[in-house]
Amino acid sequence: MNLRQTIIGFVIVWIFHLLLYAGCASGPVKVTMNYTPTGEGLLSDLKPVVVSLQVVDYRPEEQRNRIGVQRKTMFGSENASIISKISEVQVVHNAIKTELERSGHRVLNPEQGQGDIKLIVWLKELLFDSKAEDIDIELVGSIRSEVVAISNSNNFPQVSFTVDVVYRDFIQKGLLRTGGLFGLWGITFTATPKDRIENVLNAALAEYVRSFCTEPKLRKVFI
Amino acid sequence: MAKSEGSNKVAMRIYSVTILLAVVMILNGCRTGRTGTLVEPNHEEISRIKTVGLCVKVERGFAVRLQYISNADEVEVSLQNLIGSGLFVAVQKSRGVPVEVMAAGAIGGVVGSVIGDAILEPSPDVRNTKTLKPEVAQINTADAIAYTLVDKLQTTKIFPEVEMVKSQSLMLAHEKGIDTFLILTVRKWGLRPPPASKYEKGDKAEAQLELDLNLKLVSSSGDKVLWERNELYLDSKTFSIGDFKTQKGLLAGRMDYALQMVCDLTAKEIYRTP
Repeated sequence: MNLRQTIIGFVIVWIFHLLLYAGCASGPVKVTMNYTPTGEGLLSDLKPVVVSLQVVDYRPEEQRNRIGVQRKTMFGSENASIISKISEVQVVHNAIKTELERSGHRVLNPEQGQGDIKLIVWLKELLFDSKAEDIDIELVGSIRSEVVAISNSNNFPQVSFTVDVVYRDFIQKGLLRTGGLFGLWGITFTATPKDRIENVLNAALAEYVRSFCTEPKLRKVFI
Repeated sequence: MAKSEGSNKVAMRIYSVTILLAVVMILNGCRTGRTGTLVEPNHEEISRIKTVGLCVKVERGFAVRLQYISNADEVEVSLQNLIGSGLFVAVQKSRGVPVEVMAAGAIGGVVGSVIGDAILEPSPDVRNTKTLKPEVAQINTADAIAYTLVDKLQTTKIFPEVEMVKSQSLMLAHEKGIDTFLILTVRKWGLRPPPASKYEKGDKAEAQLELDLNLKLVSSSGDKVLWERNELYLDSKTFSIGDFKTQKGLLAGRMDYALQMVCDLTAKEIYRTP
């Protein structure tokens, strides 16, 4: 078999797989989202209080079944839905609770009492997506919410604010991710690995908690 | 023997192209694309700021990038090719290159641009970008963004005084009494699909405003970065591309709101308690 025949053979196999993968969807990708705090507690400079924390799912119905899509080919065709192993409401609740507790505050569920401060978080969006950006793939994780904070221990009025964060990272597609067929395989099939999806969502969650805790209106309620 | 040499040449060409592409990808991978805080705010220095010089740079202006692989930005590249062809003629003329050679090069550039435009023309992103560009003509320049931001920064009183500057110059800083520069680089801005949305063709396609920024606070001497952050602002509201085309002022209004959000975000980030 000469070089020309070899190349033609490779191209035929590649086109066959392109057609096969472009049209086929896999089972859902189940991701684990965790908030991993670093450094000092973001609210540790404030006097310890008891906080009643409630997170309400306020997302549109179509966003509750999946938090994003894993795309596989360079044309953005959908490969699989992305699903969180733990409910998204619980993920956000756990993340805020972790940060409050490590900052020295006590956290109650609403049924356990009012506490000194009542925090209600309306989760409006928690999504992941990817998009081609030049010869890379842009990965985006976004979390949006409305928050109401009510102080029971002082006379400070109730405050409300939005916490919207978008975390973006890139992965390379193409040649460097695979050696096969002079890079054609890598350029064409660029499914985002599960660990990279988790990294982006966890980074968005960390940004969310940081933005939440540094909100000036929230800090006023704690004083 | 001759056939074997020919095969080797083909193989060498393929490998050369592969290596070249790999180098391009490595270089491309060196960009700072991740969002988040790159330099934590220096609260002590920031609290001493009296006058800020705002310097805005725009790398990629407005474009509609709804397709998974969008070529809307390449319209600008194509226009740059035309300008490049003009510059090519000027440079070659100054070097005394024969007119025939010079003309051939220039025509090649122009023909390439025209062919490029012709190929790009059918793309919905290119068409939408061309349709909506007049809508944003008033706000699609570094100066226009800077004017809006200066106004908003003065209203929000993040800094005692804000001056608009064209560049980060020490001499200018002395003249205007600027002690810190706020350098805002718009890497790109325009319309993109909302996360996890299905791409629809035509005017029904959903779109939201995006603003990809790098914000940096630098001492007037330029030797100290007081804060730096990469930010991807995505508008919380989504509209159809048809809405942006039919509702006059919608796009400009969303951009104005986005710039307000950038000011609020800057205030929160640099004065936040660590």
